[in-house]
Amino acid sequence: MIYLDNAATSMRKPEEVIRAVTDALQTMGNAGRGAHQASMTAARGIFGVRQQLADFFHAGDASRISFTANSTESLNIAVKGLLLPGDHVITTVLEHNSVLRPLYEMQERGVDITCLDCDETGMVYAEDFEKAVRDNTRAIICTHGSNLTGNLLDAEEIGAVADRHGLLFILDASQTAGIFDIDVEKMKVDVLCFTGHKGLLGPQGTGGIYVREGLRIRPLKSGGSGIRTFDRAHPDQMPEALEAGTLNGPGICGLGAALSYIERVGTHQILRQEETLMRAFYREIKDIPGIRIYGNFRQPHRCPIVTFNIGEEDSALVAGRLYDEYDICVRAGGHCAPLMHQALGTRSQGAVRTSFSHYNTMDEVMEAAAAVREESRLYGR
Amino acid sequence: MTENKRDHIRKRIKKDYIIITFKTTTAAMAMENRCLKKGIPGRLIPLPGGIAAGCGLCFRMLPEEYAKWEKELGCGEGSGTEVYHYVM
Repeated sequence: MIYLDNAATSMRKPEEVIRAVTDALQTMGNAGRGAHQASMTAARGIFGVRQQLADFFHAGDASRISFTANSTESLNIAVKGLLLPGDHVITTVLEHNSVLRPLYEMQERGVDITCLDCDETGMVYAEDFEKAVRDNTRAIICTHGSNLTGNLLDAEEIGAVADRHGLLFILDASQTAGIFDIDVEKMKVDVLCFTGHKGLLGPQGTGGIYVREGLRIRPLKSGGSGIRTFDRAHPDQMPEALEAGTLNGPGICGLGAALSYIERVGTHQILRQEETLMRAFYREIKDIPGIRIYGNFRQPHRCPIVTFNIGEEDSALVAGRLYDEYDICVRAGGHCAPLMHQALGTRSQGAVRTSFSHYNTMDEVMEAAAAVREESRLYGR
Repeated sequence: MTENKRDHIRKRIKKDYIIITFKTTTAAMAMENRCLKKGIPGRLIPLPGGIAAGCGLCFRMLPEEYAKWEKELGCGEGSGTEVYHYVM
């Protein structure tokens, strides 16, 4: 099987991730719920990963990182916990439903949304954000990289716009964390939402949210925290403020092992390998008759994604054939990015998305390209 | 339980300790981490019922060690920690 669906989840994980999860399952108690060895093992393990993440994103203090189940939870926390009726927020058509749907909910409660359109290559630029700023604008919320086209937005420039206008900058790093260097200080990010199971190579069910020092977010959930038991309200100290209930200790330890692996290999090396594979695939298929590729490939760096269609063929049928006939796993359909598809004119057709991991090989890329060539030749017959 | 262990428990003598409390488990873990790195003796224990604090863990150390490391520990006002004498 050739797995080219890494933007959905990086299926292959480093061996140490599997070992860390197994070890945790055999040794971990519940973190913050006792001082015995089992509980302390969990607390120490989780704290260590918190610090790793803080270092990884240049956040400094470990207490600024709360663990969540995924980006969707982090984004819900950010959107629902920061925006108020009467606020204006700027977002883009590139966004995933994990940004759009919480925003639509807030729109029902009186939040005003400007959704920036993209150009013909699917790009949105910092100046587009600047032009949309109003007196009541409270935040910019956008993706760092499109999960559909792989286009990378310039987070540093967008962060500078937010900083200039005193706006909150909420960045969705679902497709970029672990592949691109993310420096929350340099990018002026107030809230960073990330998942653990994609580029960060951790287990599913892990993720987190970075919240800038001094910024308070109304928690989405309340309940057990291991602290301030007799208070009626959930504690407001970070990171526990955003972490009600038992954490996914084994998953978090797996994420920690994945971070150690990434640090050892280096994000630059991972990006270099993934971009090499992605660009090779792009070169191989771009001139095939009938192939339409989406996104901006002139960018010096972009997410390792190539999304295409063959003529007017339903993307689901193409993806189905790629799996049935060639044992190649790709993603078809809408990719939870409705506005991006609308902008690209692929709402009914969907699109075939290939997404690469540094674990993929050039042979796999060539085999996949040959399969697309063959399917393209057969198209219409 | 061995007879030796039972004997040890019977002969236990209460001592005066310094107890450092925290607002969050994460702050407690950060203190433990810092002390391990700097070689500061002490350990996290369950918070005694006689002390009110946010977090169920506290850092216990001997008063003479606390006096020696007080500056490095950086406890007290504005640090999110509180320091108590506690006999246990």
